Amino acid sequence: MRILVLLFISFATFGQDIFNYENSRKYGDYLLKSGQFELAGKEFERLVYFAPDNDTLKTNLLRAYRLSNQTSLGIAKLPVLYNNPSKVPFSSALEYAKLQMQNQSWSAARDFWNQNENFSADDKVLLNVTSDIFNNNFKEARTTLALIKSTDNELGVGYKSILEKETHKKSPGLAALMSAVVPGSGKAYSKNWKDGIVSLFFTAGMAFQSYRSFNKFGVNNHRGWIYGGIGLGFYLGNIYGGVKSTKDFNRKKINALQHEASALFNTYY
Amino acid sequence: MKYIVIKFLLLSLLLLRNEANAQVSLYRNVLPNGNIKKEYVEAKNNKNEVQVVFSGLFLFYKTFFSSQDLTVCTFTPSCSEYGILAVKKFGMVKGGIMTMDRLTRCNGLSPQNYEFDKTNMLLKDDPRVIPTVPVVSTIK
Amino acid sequence: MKRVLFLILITNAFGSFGQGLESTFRFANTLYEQKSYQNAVEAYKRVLFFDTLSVYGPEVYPKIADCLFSLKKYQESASYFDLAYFSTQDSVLKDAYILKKISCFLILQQYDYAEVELLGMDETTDPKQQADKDFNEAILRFAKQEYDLSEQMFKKIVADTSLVNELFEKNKKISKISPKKAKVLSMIMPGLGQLYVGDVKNGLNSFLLSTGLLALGLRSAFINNPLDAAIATLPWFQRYYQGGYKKAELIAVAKIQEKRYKIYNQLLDEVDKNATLSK
Repeated sequence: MRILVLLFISFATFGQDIFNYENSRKYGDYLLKSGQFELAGKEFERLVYFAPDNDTLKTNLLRAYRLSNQTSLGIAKLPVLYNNPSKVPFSSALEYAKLQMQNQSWSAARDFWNQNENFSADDKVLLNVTSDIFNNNFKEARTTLALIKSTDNELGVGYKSILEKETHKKSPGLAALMSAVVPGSGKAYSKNWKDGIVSLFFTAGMAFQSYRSFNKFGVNNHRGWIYGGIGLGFYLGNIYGGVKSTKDFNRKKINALQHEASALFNTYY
Repeated sequence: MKYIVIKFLLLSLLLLRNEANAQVSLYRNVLPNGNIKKEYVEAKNNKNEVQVVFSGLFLFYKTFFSSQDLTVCTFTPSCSEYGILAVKKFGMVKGGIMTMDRLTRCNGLSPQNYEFDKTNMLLKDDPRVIPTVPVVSTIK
Repeated sequence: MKRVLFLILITNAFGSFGQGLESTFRFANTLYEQKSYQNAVEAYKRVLFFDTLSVYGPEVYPKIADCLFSLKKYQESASYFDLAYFSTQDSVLKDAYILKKISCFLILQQYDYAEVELLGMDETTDPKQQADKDFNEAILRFAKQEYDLSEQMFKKIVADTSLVNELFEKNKKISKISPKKAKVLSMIMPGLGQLYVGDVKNGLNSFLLSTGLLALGLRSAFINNPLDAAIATLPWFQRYYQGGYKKAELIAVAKIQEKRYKIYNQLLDEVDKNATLSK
């Protein structure tokens, strides 16, 4: 009897095939965990072929595509995995939403999660708010966030505090006006006063040279015109630079909030 | 017959030589080859006459002036490269204005405003790049 | 009874690193022989993952390293040769792996790492390995600019030592080119240093640019006033004058590199010929 048992065990192990479903799954999980995402993608492609109804495998396949930065491949994969995009189960749908967001295709992403049945109403609100925050649309984000049902949802609370932090921005129009009046002041307004001084120096220097040349050689000499032309270039550049510097100033403030939002999003989902 | 044998021997010698070449050829570039010529991809693929003219100016400046210059620009891409890239992307007027602004910014006084490129120790400022914050974590 | 049990246990033991593993390993080997290296690496990695008893390691590590070497991923290849080195006890194999690792570091131009490995290697008894070692050392010494040592090594490998002598004589002449001298010459007269190294185009360019700016400044100083001229042209003159002599130094360094590269490749040609003859 004992011999029979031993024989059985030995035959059972003899048949170990490292390409079968069980082992492939183990290997795929290992590849995903150890950061070899491209290989993991190949492995999960095979696994999904083995078990076409397993949602965890499908989620992992999408995740492997996302982490190996093959976003367009992953996005194209969804219609193959599921017939109806509105009936994609939660975990796969979330992974697909992440793929879309990583690919920065926001309108497609919004369409997808708004018509999906497995996202709760609150999930939809939170995802919409996320997309608004990353599209720099804070006004819309506030009105959307007001629709949330469970007011003590941690991501909702986090987003709310982020939206409150969005204080008043500096105006690019004002910067342009200031730069037009006093060159460099637009940059100084957005706290780039060193660049502002250089701008003023360049523009004023060229204007002064041009003025001197016109005085000395008259209007028919080329010198004044050349200095004047370069000076005009610096003057226009200074207006553009003032606007750009102000926009950058605003963008950096918003980017800080977006980083915060991204950290919250990644811990929640 | 003799002819065939000789031919065969010669051929086999050639083949042998190839094999040996493969061994040694791996080590051909162990030393730096001292090539300091640069290729300017920015001036290629011009789409209209304006771009051709500006690329010509750019190449003229690069070969006769910039080649005799130190690396004085604090940015990567350098001011002249920024100029041609901006003109190509935004057209002559806006690109030109952007370049004038860039020339005043090229002073090295506010490094905190830019990202740093460790490979050539310069500040990054590319007219083509729109900075974005990644939404989704790339490790989980 | 005991015998039967023993037999079963043995089959069991073999079974546990069973058919699948063995056949995958063989499959990987055929891929390797067919030079399908990327696929071979993937198959080998799978074998390593399922090889719970760590029996395949000594065979698989060098194979992966070889594949990566052929795929030109030299840094990864070096670390797999390291694994291969520690997985075996055979001193001949160990030496072979170290030699391959030295090759990786040489190709990556990490000469110091290559030197560390070379110094850590024991004396080999195998003549082919000794020849490989000499070849690597010859290259390394040349790259580290220890030309006397390199000459000795090249003479060991190449049969026609007079040719090697000749090439190293030429190499000595290269050492006479001095980047410092080029710099000083260009300081005295813009473009002279470039001409000294043999770069006529840049020499002329630098000369014309600097003297042109100087002439422009002087002319405007005489016609208008000196202060104005100085403000307008001096910064530019300083920039291109200074740029000129610093560039002269860089051009000299590059020229030396170019000439050394040429000599080095001629030496390799000789080695190549020798290898053909010895075969």
